Amino acid sequence: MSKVTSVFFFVLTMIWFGLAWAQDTLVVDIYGPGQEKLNIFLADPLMKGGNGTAPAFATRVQDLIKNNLSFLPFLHQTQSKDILGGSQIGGIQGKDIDFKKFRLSKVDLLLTIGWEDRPGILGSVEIRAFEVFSRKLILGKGYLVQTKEQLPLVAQKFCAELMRVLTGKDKFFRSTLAFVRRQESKKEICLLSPLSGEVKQITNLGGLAMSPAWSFDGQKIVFTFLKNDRHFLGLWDRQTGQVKSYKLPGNTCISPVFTPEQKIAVSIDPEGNPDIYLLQRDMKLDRALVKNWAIDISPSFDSSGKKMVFVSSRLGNPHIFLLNVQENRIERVTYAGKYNTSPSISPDGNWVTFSRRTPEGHRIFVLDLRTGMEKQISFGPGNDEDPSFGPDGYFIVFTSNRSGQYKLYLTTRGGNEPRLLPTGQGEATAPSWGVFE
Amino acid sequence: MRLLGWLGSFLLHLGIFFLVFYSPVGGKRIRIDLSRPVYEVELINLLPPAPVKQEVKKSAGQLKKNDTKSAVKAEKKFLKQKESKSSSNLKKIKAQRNLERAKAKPKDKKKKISSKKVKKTRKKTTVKKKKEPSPQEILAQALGSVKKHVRAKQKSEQMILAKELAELRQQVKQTKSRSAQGRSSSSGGIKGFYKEFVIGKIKENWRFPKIGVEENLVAQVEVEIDERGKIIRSRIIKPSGRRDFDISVLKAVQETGELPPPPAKTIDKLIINFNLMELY
Repeated sequence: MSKVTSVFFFVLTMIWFGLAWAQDTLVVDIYGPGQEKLNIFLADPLMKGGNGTAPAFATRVQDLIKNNLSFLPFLHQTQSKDILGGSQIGGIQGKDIDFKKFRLSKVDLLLTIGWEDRPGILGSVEIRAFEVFSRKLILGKGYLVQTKEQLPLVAQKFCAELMRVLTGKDKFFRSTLAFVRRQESKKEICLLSPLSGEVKQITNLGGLAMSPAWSFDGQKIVFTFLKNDRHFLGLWDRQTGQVKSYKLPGNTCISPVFTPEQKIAVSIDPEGNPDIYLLQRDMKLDRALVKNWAIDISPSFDSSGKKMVFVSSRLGNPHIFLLNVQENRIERVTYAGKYNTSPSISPDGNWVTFSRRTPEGHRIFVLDLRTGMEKQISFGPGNDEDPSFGPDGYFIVFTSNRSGQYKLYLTTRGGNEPRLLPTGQGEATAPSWGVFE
Repeated sequence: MRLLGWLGSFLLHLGIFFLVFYSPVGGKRIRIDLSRPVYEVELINLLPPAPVKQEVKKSAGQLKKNDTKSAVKAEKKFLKQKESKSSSNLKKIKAQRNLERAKAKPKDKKKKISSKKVKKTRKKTTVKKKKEPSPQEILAQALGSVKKHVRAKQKSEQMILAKELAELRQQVKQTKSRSAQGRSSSSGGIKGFYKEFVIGKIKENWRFPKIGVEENLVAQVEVEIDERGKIIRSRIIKPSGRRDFDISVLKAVQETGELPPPPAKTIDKLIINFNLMELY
């Protein structure tokens, strides 16, 4: 009888399996997210412990963080009015927060600020970032604030940490731009903090200072200097704040840059034709990196020093070429257009941004060296020129006269909407990105 | 004995099961030529069934949707109508001919007969005179010929109708099979459309910045839906290796909340592969 039962159950099992198979499953493939921006909400600051209202210093931190995050094109700041049920939070810690309303409002990240008054100093601030969906704390930092002048630094440090957590990169918030500002008939080198908009002039040579380029450690800037129809090599030292100028062999000195080994590569014409030379530390000629009958200018190195891109007219029109430094092998990388100039290679050596003359004017392009694919990332109006890769290989700064006067604009490798950077009076050109290590 | 019966039945069913699912069709191995490109196409019957129904209505008068019985009924009715029409026509013809003959007989004889023919006609008339049919006979003869003519006409009409009806039946059969085909083939198409809709609906809720990610990330999510399309449950069945990516895809599914009802009631589960990189 037991055998009969077992057979019966076996048959039942088979029927069950049959029914299970009868259920249909659809397989769906989705390629790429629909939105590349995360929704972030920065809650109003609270007093730590929940007693009283937070002071103006805490609100200042909130405003600074908001301003800093506005530079990140992959974040969308949700407004208070868009939070269903009000934007108030019960506390600054996860256990006190009603995440449900933020989740319903499609907020991905929630930032809280807690302020505490401290005797003898301005106070301390705790800033937390929560992932709303999982209700988990992804970043929490506390800062002791001695003076109110330190508040921008607090906001900057926290934003750098947040960017590192979200993207693995954080150099943008520690970077400074060098650029050329025109003052009547003169051109001088200035520094710009993209976050604060603070501009500082570092040269006062009375001539034409051009093409600044940062050293990889962010301690020096090398540039071309023209005075009385003569070309010089200029060098600014961050430690001393002093500028030195050097006369190199030949008549020209164009687009000098630092190599990762802290040497200088520059286009000079000791033999009557501009070629790219490497200089020794005492500014004497080391060796020619690129030597050709044509004009070779605008070198740019990746962070490994193995790749150098430059402009050459060896095939007639100016095009971008890539030098494999170790193998001393040169290959052409741009084929479209008739006038490709100002290349800047990303620190990882995968991307090159450059300017191309199009029928509508000069435009910025990005080239993927791995695939050879190009993408136009700026669309004018006017001329977009002199692109420079940021230290993370994500942001790109370029100059454009779209507003009538040349100014600096910030975009990304993906071609996000360019954002005007405040540079004050006068034309701003030839930007170069550096990071203080 | 009973046990043996159970066992025999079970083995028989098992045998059928294995025969159906595991025996190679026709005893031949299917060979796939990898050098040839493979194309997957979804056949969609774009012919709407409605116009065919209209055709049936038009041709058969009162034929209802693909109903052969009603078609036969309609056919009979149609034939009856025809018959009644033809009989009434017959009566009219009879009356008309009688009148015509009654008027035309004396006039024709006087006018048309020549001198030579007179003899003949006389002879004939004599013959006729001998066997001169009565007006009733003439009428009966005329009626007979008319009946013959009408029968022949009816026959031919019936033949035509039968032919038309056969064609209609054939058409009805074809439309039925075509619509059935359409349903079965377009079910694949409907699934395809449904998939596209699911992709669009979930993708718009999927937020993930690509910055800092160079390689493709893939997470597989199992989504259970009810017959109205409401998402009941979702879980990661193959994680990408990055927590924030996995959370972003789960969030996308949950924020979507509801999908359109699935094209078949048997569909209660979706396997969604979330790929970070776009297809170019």
